[in-house]
Amino acid sequence: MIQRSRLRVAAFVGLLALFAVIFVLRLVDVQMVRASDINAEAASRRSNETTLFGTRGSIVDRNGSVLASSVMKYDITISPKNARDFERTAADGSTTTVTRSQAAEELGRVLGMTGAQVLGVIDSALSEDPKSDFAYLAKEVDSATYERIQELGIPWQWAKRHPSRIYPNGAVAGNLVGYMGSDGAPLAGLEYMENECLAATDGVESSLVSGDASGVVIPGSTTVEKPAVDGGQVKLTLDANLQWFAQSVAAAQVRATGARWATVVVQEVKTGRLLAVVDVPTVDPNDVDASHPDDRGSRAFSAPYEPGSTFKSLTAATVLDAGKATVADQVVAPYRLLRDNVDVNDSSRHGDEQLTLAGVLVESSNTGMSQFGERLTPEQRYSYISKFGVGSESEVGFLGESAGILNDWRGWDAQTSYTTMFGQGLATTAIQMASVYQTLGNHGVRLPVRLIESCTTHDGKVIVPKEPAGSRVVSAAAADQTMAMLEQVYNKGWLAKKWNIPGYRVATKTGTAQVPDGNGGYQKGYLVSVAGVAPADDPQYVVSVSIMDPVLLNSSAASAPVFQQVMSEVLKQNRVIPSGSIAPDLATTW
Amino acid sequence: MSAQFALQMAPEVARQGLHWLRALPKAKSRASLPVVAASTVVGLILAQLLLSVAIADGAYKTEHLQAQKVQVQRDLSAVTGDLVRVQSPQYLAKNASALGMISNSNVVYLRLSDGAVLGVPVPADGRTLAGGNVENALLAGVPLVTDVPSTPAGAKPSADATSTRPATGSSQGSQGAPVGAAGSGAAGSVALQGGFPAVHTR
Repeated sequence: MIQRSRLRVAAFVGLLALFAVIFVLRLVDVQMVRASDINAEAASRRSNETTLFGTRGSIVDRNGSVLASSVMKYDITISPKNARDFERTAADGSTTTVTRSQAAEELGRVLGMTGAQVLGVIDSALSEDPKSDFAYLAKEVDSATYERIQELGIPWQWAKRHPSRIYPNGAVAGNLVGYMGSDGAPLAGLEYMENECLAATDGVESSLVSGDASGVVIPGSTTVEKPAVDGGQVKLTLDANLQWFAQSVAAAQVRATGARWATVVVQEVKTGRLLAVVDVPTVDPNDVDASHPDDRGSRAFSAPYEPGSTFKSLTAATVLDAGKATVADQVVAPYRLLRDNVDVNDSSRHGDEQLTLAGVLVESSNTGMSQFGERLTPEQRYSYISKFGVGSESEVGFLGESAGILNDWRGWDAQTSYTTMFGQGLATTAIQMASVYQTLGNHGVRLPVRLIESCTTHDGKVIVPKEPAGSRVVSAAAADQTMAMLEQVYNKGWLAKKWNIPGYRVATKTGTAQVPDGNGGYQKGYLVSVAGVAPADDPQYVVSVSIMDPVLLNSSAASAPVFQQVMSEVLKQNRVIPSGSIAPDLATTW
Repeated sequence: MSAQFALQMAPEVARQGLHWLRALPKAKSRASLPVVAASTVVGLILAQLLLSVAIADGAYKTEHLQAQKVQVQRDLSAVTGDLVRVQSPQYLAKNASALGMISNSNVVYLRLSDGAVLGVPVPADGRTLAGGNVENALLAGVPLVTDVPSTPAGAKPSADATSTRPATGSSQGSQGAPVGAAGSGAAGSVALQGGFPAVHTR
């Protein structure tokens, strides 16, 4: 009996051993010999990788108003070779046959096409390739359209996700915000410049799917291989409401005067921040093709022009700073001033005028300003002009930004060394002109021009771009005296009624500049401008308006109403208390 | 050792040759071993089955909720898109103009401490703020507040000094036909038709 049981035990153990050996052999076979084949087959059969889209960050103005944000849109695609009749099951379980043309009709109705157009897409795809399995029916449709398409339940239709951008404020700051290509690549403006902050990183999600043709995802098998990382939010210094207002006013004036284009720049005197940078005409990033390619950037940054008389404020401030003149210094300003190889004229004929420096600005006399400007050497003036920021790009470094045109003083001929005193023979951008007035308003200290307030990353970290410190260009006394003289221009100049802002003290200067024709001469039209600062008793805001060739009103009278409306709005929106004092009265003649 | 101890303590057990000691437990254990094993296996299988059913059920629930989340996110993004669009200055300005409002950039302040008037009061010059100068392709086809009938056809104005008409909860979308209170009297509610109802205050 014991022997039998021992035998049984031995047989059992032997059997177990045999199984163990078989399992080990099988294990070796599967895990080592055929491992790569099996792994490859398993991966191809079960695993399905999909892209997890990260959300590109938004661009907002200083108050958080959204200028650009991301939205998921859908490309509607079809499989032409499978486009045929199908059975539709209604909610009550009954089935109806939907023919190919009926389905095309239904698709077309949702997508704003005719049934024939949908069939046309199918047929042309099939005529190119009878086995065609893919054709676009519509691109970038919104989620409401997507859902209506899905409700049709057409089996040969498939919607592809397409991360997209919307610009809720349309053309407001379209010149700055820029736009993206349909492939999701940033093409212009801040979308391009700030891509590092805005861009999201797509992730990967994998899931197991059933081995059969349906490829149903096995519940619970989805794993995130690589999480998507959302982009950061770019906050601008702009005020979208003000930008809209200035843009609206400038567009109306461009239309009314038949001008080619206009720019308006609003800058904070005490911080250097840009509140509005308007270009007209401009681009609506929602519909880029509707605008001319030349109008899709920002001329305020990229198109330098000869500023003309608005530049005289700079010359006056430099002469005062160098101690070569006082506000009350007297000159006789003739219509025509002749020096060696120099011939300077005023814009309209007049007899000799006895003007002070303040009077030269009020009358905007070229001959008068020349007599003050020549008290400095060209080298000195070149140095001042450079320190005001002309001839170098602003700190914004906008896409395609121009440095303006400021040739070295050694290259100036005698005539140029005089014309640069009143803003011809050199070129500035609208941003640079605003910056000149910011410096004058800020008691002679030029602050870096700012457009980007911050970048907030997806995890809430706020990155504020480092800005260089401000730099003193002229003394506080020279800047303040220049402001006082510009107040005389505001109160006594020929446009005093046109730019009047009741209740506030304002400092302004006009410009009517000739525009080079590119062949060494000047065009017939003018660039008319007004730049100014308010309130003059506590300077806070610069508004600089330039209008190119307003054929129906070819003088700075075209830009004065724009200045008046925009500056009024700036003061209103920012709740600036009206000036409690009266502007100083300086002698302009003697 | 234990057998010797048993013999000493209970001689009658020794005389019987320890039959019962060996036989009874053996018979019992032989019969129960397969039963225990089988029932354990069956139990395990059953438990696993139930567990996997529970897991699968949970997984389907998760899947369903995730699909629901995607749908809700899509709805959120759609309504957020609508909201930021109607918040745009172009839309606000067009509506303000349509309601007959004009802009006056000139500000005057009344200082409460001493009643001083700061600034110079100047009437508005009649310039309207038509937002049409600044394009916004997103606003194509979005009706203005004045385009949306705020009083249903056939309804008589309320006799109340002030009446505020609430919107019904259901949005009809821009294609929706007017529903509801036609002929039902002043107390009827107004369906929201792709726009926001104007507040009526008398």
